[in-house]
Amino acid sequence: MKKRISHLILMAVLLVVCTGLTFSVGAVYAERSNDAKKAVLDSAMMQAQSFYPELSSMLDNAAVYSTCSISKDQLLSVKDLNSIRDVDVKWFVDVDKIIEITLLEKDGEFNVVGSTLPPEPGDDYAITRMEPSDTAALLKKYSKENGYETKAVSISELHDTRLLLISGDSGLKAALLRGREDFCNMKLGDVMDLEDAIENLKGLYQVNTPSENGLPVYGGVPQFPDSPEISSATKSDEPSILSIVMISCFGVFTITATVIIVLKKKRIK
Amino acid sequence: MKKIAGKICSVILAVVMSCTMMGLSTKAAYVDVTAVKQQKTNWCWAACAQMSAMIACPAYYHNQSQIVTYIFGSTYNYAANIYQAAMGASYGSCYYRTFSSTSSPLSFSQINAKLTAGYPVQAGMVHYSGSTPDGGHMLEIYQTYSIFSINYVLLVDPYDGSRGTLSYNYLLNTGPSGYKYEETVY
Repeated sequence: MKKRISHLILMAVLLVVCTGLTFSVGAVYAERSNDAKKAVLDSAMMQAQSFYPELSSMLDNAAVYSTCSISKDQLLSVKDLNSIRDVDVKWFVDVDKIIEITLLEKDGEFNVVGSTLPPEPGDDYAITRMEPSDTAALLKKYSKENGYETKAVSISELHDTRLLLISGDSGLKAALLRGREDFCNMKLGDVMDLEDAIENLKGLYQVNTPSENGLPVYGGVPQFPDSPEISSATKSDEPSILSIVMISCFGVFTITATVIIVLKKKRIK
Repeated sequence: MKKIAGKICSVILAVVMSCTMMGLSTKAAYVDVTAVKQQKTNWCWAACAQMSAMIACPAYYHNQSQIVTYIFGSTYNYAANIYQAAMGASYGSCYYRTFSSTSSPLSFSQINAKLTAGYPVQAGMVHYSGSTPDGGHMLEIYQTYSIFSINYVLLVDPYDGSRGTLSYNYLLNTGPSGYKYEETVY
């Protein structure tokens, strides 16, 4: 009887010791893992912070803003901007820094977006809706009738290109950039048919509906998921992490106890 | 003496097994994503874009309102397709990083690689009615790990900024509310 009691006490002690050791090892592992992550993140952050002043300077030069390199003389000049402003659209915050004009079509209307570089915290981009009549005036200004040479450039395969850069001194110089390097090769003096470009942009920037073009769109939150679902999704047939850890610990304890009992029995015999 | 040796062996055995299990079962890749709650009902993609942008360009990133304005011209409550979501993320990071999109899910190892490189992954969750997509939601994957060959991803749901854990297979094959992982911005 005494032996059994002593065995039970021994088992209890061993279970406590094993439990403590297991969780200690786990805690040490987790702490080391977190320390390592923190070190990597700190290092990355330091590198990033040291780079940003340089990045800011580069953006000031407006040469590397796009996915391809474009020189400043390829961008909108103040003269161009003033010409466009003759259309009586006021959308620029700082004319000297404007390098891009974006035309977006929606429901037959064009939205014109001008932005400054580099973006600064709290910077509010000036956005003005451009009515079709204004758009027509802009297009007419740069139309063939007014002596501008145009050359069609296919953009039918573009998906993620949206910038329409207008540049140059002698007429319409437009280049679609960002997302497609093909257009990065366009130089000052290269021209394209603006109407074709806008026609293509129409197709690209219509407001999406789920069934449109067969492309899924992301939004419509009320359909998915209720906030607790994302966590409770592990209710599926696969076990949760906690349950796996618990079962693992239990398994270790059981094996240890079994080994000890077997050893004890052999000794008793 | 033998008894003590037996006990010590048992304890060592337990410790070794515990260490082995703890050591082999968790292999984590992690990006320190700040959870962002979407400001409008259809702006899950913009909130995810902002989360990714905050990692790529913490000093100059654009918020979701600015991202939507960039894509649609104003702060319309519009859903976006995968291309627009990728473009929004790129713009959000001031093009410090150009995000790509693919109309397919990344494998678990690919997600792991992206996270290890320091970039979160935006998972496009799609619901179909027959063969036609009738809804979508975007989630931000910021961590992965595996336990006993089961792969898990940790993600932020921009709907309410909450964090959750899903198994990769569940994400891919079943999906919460039938929304399966179909497309990716990375």
